[in-house]
Amino acid sequence: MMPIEEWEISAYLDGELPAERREEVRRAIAEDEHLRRQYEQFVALDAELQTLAKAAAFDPCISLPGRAMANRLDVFQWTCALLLLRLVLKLVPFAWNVGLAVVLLAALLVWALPYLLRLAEEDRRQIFSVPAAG
Amino acid sequence: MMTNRRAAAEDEFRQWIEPLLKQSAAYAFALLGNRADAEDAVQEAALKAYRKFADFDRSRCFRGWWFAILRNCCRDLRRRRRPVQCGNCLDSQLAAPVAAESAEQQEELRRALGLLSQDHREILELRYFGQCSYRDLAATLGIPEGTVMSRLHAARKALAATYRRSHHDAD
Repeated sequence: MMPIEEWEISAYLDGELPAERREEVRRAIAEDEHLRRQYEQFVALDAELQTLAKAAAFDPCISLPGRAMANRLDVFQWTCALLLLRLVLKLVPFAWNVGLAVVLLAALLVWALPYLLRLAEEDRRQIFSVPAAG
Repeated sequence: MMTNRRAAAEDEFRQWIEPLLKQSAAYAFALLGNRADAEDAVQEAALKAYRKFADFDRSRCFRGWWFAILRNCCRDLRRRRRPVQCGNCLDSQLAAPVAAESAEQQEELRRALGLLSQDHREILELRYFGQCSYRDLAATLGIPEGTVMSRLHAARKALAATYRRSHHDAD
């Protein structure tokens, strides 16, 4: 067996040693008074530090630009599409208007359908989701 | 298309970051000493990480990468704002209520932590408040895992000695 290095006591405590070495360190701690004392001291300190860390933990609120930006871009795209539709309808003669309006409306629907379906799905999930206890 | 990509990118980033938020807040709190600054640091780090996330190599240690960013944000924030003696956290700002007897012990431990060298305090804060493994610590601090082991051990020894001394002083 290789001699136990002092730092291995820390690694043993943290569960960061390979299984084989772990067993050797465990045996060494059981047999060596000095190593055992140091290990016990570290265990006590470890517990206190964990309590301190637990007391300091809280859930921070973070906001990211991704979804907000996506929603803004959605609104921008919709507005552009509607303005374009209005402009085109004004420019072409009436006979073409109806046909063009139907085609554009169909295209708009096909374009918007996945988005609308996604919104409907999100609404459905929100309505049927069970609120968390507490 | 583009809007969906943005939303999907945020969703993916949130999946990586959300399990780490609580310990990130604890770590920032340990470094900055108050909850408001800790929350600001986490928010700032999240924005920075989100912007760099597209270039992040997914095979790398995300936790280490994230804590390195958070650590830098905390340092910047501490430099910008009033200097806070590390370890002097206010009990009233702690998330979990602390019993009076252990509150005194915790205060001593915080003071002992504050007396350690920068390297020792840093590695202990990352290990306990950030709940980092040795691999995470190596990635965050940019040192080999062997150095993490020896430094963490030295930090524990130093803390134990300082803490014991403060116990004797109190008695």
